[in-house]
Amino acid sequence: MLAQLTTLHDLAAYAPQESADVLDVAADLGLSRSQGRLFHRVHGLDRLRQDPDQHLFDLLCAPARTVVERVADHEDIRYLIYAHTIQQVTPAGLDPATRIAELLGLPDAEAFSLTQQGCAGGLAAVDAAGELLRADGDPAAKALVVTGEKAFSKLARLIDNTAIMGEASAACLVGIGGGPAVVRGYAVRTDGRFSHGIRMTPQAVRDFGESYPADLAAVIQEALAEAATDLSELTAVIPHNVNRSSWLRVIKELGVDKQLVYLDNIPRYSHCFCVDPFLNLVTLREQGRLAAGGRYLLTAVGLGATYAAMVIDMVVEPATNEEASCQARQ
Amino acid sequence: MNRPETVEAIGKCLAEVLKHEVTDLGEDVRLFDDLHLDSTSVLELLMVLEDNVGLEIDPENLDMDDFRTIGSLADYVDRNLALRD
Repeated sequence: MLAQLTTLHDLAAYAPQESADVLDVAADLGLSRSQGRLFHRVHGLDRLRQDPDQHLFDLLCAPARTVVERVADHEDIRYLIYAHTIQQVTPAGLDPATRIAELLGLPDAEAFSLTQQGCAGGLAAVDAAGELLRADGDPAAKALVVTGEKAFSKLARLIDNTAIMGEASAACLVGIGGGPAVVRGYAVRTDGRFSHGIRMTPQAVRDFGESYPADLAAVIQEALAEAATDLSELTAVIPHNVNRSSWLRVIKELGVDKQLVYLDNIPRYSHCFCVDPFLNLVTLREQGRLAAGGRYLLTAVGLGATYAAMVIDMVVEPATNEEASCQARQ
Repeated sequence: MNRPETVEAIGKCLAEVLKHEVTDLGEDVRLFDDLHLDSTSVLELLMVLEDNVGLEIDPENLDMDDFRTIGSLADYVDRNLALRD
């Protein structure tokens, strides 16, 4: 029944105004000229957004406030889930999810963080939100999924030879029926061989790199199977912005046309932790490319290593439905 | 560049990436198995070659078979430079 499926009701994204050249950022990180150029020439990175003076909560609340302000009755927002890649994003004793709920004027929302799935955590949060709302059974209830992190140190900013992290944030309002987008399928797999993340051994890094395209393609196929569809029925793949070269390998593995996968935001924003699929969805919305009846696959990979994919159907055209509107302050 | 010059240029670029001199520049020396490059350091080598010898790679169409040995890399460099002439 449609009413029992997870639905996406609203979405907003934000990125700081300050833009940096990835070659300059690479130099600041101590990378050699050739290592920096590798990010630019081969991995397809160009610029990224950052604002070292902006507080984490200001970054997070920018899109979240936009969404909350569009909810008529704030008491409908029963959960606030902050999905983040880095496990410790605030000093000990400061629970970021609870603080975000306070700042948004949602003191009664049950607030918690979702981690341990790296940059795939945002999609996991949407899935968890749907499960919680279904268990409660109130069709009016909603959950607010918030993503966004500060690239506050070299450790947080650089995935060797893979990505240089940028800053952005997104907020997604999740329900169980009535929204403009319906979640048709979700698949997630964690491969514990790579659990050391950024501290993997060189051999594990090589093994991860070699297995990455096939393992991500398998999870994508699993999500498509759950949605009783296949690649030929997708309007677009909306991926994480890890880098272009990794995605070219996945595209080859999937056997799809490059044009099916939205890669245009990689040179604009670089990889922004859990935010990418939501940010890309908002960009496509702003470009009028989210069509009613369109079928989209959101996907992300987290170091650790977690592969996630989610199939959504646009039930109505967002631009013609105020509740479905997606806005980005970019 | 003639062939010995190409191989010598590759040797200099390899030294920059590996941070040590490569004494054996035989064309059958394997980049991965003998010199211990990996898929990332090979790409870094291409960036250095772009800087040093005017190579211009197409990131969308890289074939790792071109980077098996110093000889196959020299073939790739020669082909690439010939296309630019």
